[in-house]
Amino acid sequence: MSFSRWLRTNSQQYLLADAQQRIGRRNGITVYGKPRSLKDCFWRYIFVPTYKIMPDGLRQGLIRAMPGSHRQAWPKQSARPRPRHLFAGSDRKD
Amino acid sequence: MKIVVVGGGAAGLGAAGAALGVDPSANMVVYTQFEDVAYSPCGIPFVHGKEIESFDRLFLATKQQYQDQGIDVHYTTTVEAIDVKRNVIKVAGEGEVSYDKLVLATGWNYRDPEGPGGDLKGIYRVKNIQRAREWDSYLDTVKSAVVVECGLIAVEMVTALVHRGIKVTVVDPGPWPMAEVVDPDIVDPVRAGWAEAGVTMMWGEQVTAFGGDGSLSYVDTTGGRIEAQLAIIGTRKVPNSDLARDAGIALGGTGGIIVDSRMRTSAPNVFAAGDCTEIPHGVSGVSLQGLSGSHAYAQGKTAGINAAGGVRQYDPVYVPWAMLAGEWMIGGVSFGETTASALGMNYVSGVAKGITRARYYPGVKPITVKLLADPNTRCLIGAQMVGGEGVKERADFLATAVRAGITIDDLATMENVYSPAIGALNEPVQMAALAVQQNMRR
Repeated sequence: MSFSRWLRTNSQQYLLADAQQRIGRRNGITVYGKPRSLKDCFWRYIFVPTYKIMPDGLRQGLIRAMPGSHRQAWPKQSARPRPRHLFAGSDRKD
Repeated sequence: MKIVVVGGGAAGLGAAGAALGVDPSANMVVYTQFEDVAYSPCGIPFVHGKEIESFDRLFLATKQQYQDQGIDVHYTTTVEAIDVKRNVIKVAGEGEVSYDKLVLATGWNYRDPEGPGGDLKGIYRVKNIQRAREWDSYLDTVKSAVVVECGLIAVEMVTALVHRGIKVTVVDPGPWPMAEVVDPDIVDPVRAGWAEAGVTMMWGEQVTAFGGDGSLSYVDTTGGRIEAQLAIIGTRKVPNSDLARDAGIALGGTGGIIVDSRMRTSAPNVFAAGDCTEIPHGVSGVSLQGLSGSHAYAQGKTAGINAAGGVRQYDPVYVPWAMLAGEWMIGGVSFGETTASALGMNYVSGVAKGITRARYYPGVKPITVKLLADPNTRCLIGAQMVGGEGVKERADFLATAVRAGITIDDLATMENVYSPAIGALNEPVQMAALAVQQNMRR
């Protein structure tokens, strides 16, 4: 398994598990799952908290730096929020 | 021009047909390791559940129709290697075959559940239609089954097995059904429906071994041993990209083949489409693998058109999805709270419970809509739904809304159809948008 696949597989698994724990708790579901190995401990207690405290820009930069289709040429996302329609809005002047 | 397609699923046949649309004189050859092409594997659980009378109904066309279209399909034929420098593939029983353009549509496999006993008779991976025909009669002999993880097809198989009168135990390391994509409040009616139907659910547990003497008779899990004659493997889809990797074609972090918007790979004259590839998500930019059959078909058409000399672009995806789960329809677009939260995205959500027809009209069903919006731009970024009907149409609409950059304010003031038999006065999507607005003011 390549490094990027190893990183993607593990980060996805443990970030999801962490989110499931928080969202589950909010919905009255207790999510069990004590760490079973050293690997579990690393991803849960070092990787996940580090990812969460990273500034958003750095986080997105790291995701974009990973090899993948997202680094190829793709159509750009439409403007967010979409531009208001020409005839919409109270500031229209004829 | 000779165009060779490897794979006979939605992407492969989509590519072949679209390429011939651009260049009808193209020499079109499709290789598949299976006995059939272009059928709907997603329909298999419904034949097992007896909702569909025959597996024959799942085929999109006959073998003769493909031949008449000028598509030369080589069935039960394995492509063993690709030499991208010489533009040739090595085919079992045929030797070297040259191509001008190559389209890889090699699809997906179930992730290996990694336990001893995985080769016992009685372990079923729902995918191949000929094997499904054989399994269908075997199901008549089964009293107890274990569903190993809750992938989409496995969820449909739970319902099918219950319909067949088989006792079902679901074993999944996640804390609720389909926890990788669905929020717990959305999937809760499904879970409750399963419990009512007598399905035993073991959340947060894993299968550790399959046991039996030649045939499966029990499944060992972290939560104990379960007697079972059948195990349905429902682990997540992984890309079948070994052929591409061995040829030196670049793969991404998901293990899927890296492609651009024209479905070109890192190798000249080689395109790829469907579940063997990865495609960037429109909001997060994160590459995704393992989308739906409609995605595979559209990507296949894009690859085929470009391979034949035309020009077509495929866009990043927003992933509308919907499915039947027990008595409920569930679905969504892009993100739920769990996935948005896992990525560290900033969002505000709102939930509304509504109805699908006028409250007095026969057949009216409940529906719950949850919307997620970016508090900075106020744009919709995701949605999840559960209801008795009308989930698919709303998922398609909301995916277009996310793609277009529609704001929560647009949705809160949207117009909607009111017609007693098909739509209620208050549209649940609009009500959910109002709830998001309210939560944004807090």
